Amino acid sequence: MNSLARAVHGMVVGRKSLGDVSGDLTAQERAALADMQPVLARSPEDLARVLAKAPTQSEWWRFADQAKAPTQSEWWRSAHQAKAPTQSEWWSSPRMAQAPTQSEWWSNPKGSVSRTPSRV
Amino acid sequence: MRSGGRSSAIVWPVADYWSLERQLIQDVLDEGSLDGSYRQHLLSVLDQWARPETPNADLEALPILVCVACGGNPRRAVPVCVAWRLLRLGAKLLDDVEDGDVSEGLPEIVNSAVGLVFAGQLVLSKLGDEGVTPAHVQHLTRELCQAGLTACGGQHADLRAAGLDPDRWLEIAAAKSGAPMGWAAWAGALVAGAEENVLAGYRDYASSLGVLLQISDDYNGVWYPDHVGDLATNRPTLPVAYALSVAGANERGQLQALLDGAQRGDIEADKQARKLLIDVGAQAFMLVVGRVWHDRAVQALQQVGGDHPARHQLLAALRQVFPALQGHSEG
Repeated sequence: MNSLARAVHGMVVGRKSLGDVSGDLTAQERAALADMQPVLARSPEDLARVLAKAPTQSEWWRFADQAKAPTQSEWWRSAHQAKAPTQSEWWSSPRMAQAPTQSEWWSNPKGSVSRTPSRV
Repeated sequence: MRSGGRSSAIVWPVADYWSLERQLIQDVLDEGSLDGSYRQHLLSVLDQWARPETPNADLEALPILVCVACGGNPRRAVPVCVAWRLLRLGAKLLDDVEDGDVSEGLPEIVNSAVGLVFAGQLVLSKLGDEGVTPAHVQHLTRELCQAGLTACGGQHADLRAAGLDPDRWLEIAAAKSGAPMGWAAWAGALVAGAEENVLAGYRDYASSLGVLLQISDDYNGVWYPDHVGDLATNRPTLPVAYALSVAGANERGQLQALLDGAQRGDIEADKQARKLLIDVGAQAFMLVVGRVWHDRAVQALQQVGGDHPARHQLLAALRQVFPALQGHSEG
């Protein structure tokens, strides 16, 4: 993954092509980079704006009912419908940047109270 | 031996597994000459921290899910699930102590955690009542102890870590999180009577899932913390490991100064450090490395085959760990 780190840095910061950076990578790492080229083509600031919050471990462990899970297309649609914040808005309220939060998705009845291991 | 096929006898979800698990724990605690107040204390800790939101199996019942996905009888996986729950809870209590999150009652918490870990091993002896062979019980117990020991080794490295590079960070994550989760899934498949390749596939799936959870945790810990962010706590975190391994000398110095400020409680330094991490591509790296471990887990599940809804639930659960991974390749 150290070579993957250098490759990502080369593409995102150095604006190099996949072919320029993929020499030391495993086939799986190359495939991941190839699939994610549109992501890596964004500027870091632009990417930060569109990223959604990943659930915390405690939220994730509570996920059980698939009926509550949005489809990928639902998630993606809701992400695009969100108002694109200005940079200053994003920095002052990064949680508003995109899409629903995981707790909104899952309507976790326990809210943010973690009763399960985190970072174990 | 079954190899991941679907059992028409199993309807999923099927039962209130928590009640079965809770009863089994009580039985185990009742069998020894355990001090009554300690017994009651362990049960109250369990009820406080491990009782599921709903009686049906959730993802904390990973061994039961895997057992069902392999076409096994979920009741056979209940002792495995109890051992897994107790190990996780014991580890969580010790983790809280190690992270300095415990302000009072520390000796009792340590003693509770150790008791839960021992109880978890003891409960595996109940697998014989479910028709699991003594050889398999011994194998399950040995592998549980090995996974727990590996996790402790990972935690030790994490506590002492300084100046990690991404490879070392991932080794530690695999030890801390991947090894125990790998055991849970492997054990669920074993009691289902799965073949070797299926056992290995589910272990790979869950090990990769464990690493992905740690990646997701560090992503949130830097940019979306619930409370105090990781940059303010000086814990080893993957975005920082990435940045320090790829940045030039000037950026490294700048980042280190900001991190020092964040650890002193300087909110502006914390904010600028998060921004600098973004600028050097740390968020993009977290997505890519998350994608690699996500794909490893998917491939492992694909290799085991089968079409039981529980297997699809395992796949769906994987997708939910890091929603930002989904759809971004669409541009």
